[in-house]
Amino acid sequence: MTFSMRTPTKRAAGFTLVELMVSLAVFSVLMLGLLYYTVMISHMIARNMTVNHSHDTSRASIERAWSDLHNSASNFVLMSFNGTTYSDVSPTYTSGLPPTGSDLDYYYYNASNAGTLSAAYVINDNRTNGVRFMVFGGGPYLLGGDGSGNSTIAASSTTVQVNITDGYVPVVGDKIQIPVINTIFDVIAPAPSVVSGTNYKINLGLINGVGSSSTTSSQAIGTTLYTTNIATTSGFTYSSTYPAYVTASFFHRVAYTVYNNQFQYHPNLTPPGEGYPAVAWTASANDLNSMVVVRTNVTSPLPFGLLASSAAGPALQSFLRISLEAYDLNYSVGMYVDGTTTLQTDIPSRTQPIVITSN
Amino acid sequence: MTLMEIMFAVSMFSMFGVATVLAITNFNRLASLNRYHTLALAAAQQKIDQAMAAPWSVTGTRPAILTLSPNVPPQVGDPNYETGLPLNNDVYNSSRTGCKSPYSGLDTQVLDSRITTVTALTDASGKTGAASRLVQISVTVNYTYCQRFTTSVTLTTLRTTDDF
Repeated sequence: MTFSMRTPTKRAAGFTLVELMVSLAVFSVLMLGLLYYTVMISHMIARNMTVNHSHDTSRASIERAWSDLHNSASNFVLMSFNGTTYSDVSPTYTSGLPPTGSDLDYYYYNASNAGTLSAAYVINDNRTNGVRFMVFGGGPYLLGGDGSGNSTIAASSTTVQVNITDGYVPVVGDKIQIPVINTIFDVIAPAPSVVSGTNYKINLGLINGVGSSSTTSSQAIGTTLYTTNIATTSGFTYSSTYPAYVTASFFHRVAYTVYNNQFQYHPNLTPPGEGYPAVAWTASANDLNSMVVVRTNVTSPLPFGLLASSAAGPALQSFLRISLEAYDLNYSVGMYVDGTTTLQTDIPSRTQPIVITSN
Repeated sequence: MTLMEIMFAVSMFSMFGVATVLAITNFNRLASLNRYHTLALAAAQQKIDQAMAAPWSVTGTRPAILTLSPNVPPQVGDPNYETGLPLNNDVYNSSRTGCKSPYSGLDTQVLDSRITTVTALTDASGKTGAASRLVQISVTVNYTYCQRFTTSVTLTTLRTTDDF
């Protein structure tokens, strides 16, 4: 009897090389498709986020500026801002077509010249990264004397006492308007100080900004003002029935700038030619005196301009043109097409008539 | 797993992928449309602002922007019928040295037309027509996106004189 050491022949379980290659090829194609799909979806999402962010930036920035600009109490003054100082820019207009001539802004339309080139207003050549203007600060407040203990303000007095009851804090560089004598004075140094309670002593500067310096030249009020019950030299007696109510209001200088890709609001801009900011930033007061960043990722270098009716015409300084471009710089490597949003608008001042004749 | 099964699975997977890409592309297009809608609203609002801010005294002349429309609806060539306004692109800044950024060319120019209709209403003193001190201002912005999506945005307001 013999035993065979051989076991029955049986094919080992597994895949052939051909099967492996086919499956690998199919798998690779699937993976490539999946990869392409993922990259495409990621690209779309990133691009959409970029566009949304840039759109949000430009829209929110304009919305923020809109109400202030509408309610400006003065003309708009274009200015160049370099982060530490600013200088005013006078708009210039050049005849002809761009790039040498001035641009025509069809968004601000002169209906009286419809159908002609002059139907569009002209944008100034030298656009800027900043604009400044005055806004209403507070008032009307009662005058209480000259701030030196006299209830009657002599014509030669260079100070007035104002009872500011709503918390407004006047600063050097403000304008004070006294309607009864139809005059606007600069508020000059020394800084307004509290005399008693809510009464501030205000030093008066140049009338309507006319003169060599807006902060050092004292100005007499020029007219005797009565602020209490008193018999005047003209024989008229102020009494509780006929009180001598003399009031004043304050106006404040503010600005919007684009600097370092930031849309910035300057709630306390210094007078022209003086140090910036007007009031140093203090953390304890959660101070917003010096500058507020409204939005980042604003990419337009020179978004502000003024309009004129023609290249030869005067600037319409109550019509500000803003062309605000935004791009989400966090996704800038992508340089996504359509990732940039440009929102352009012309903002007229709603304060009519303009109350502050200089700023 | 049979070849049929594999082919079926691959085709299902492919259909899913294509459908998803198409859907997301469509979402993007809708998002763009909505963004342009917002820009068109801003353009209409700007015109309304211009109309609301124009000084108009009862003793003065009517500002040009409040001139009654000769045709209702306005025709091409009428006052306040503006065409070719760029919605999301500032050609004036792009052509000017120093005014554009590295990102200025990335936006797509969509042109719109803006039609402002000014009609007189009967005011409180009973005046009508050109003598009326009460007007209705309607601003319509039309634009076409991707050459097939035509959209219209309209804002309407009333305006009277600054004084009485």
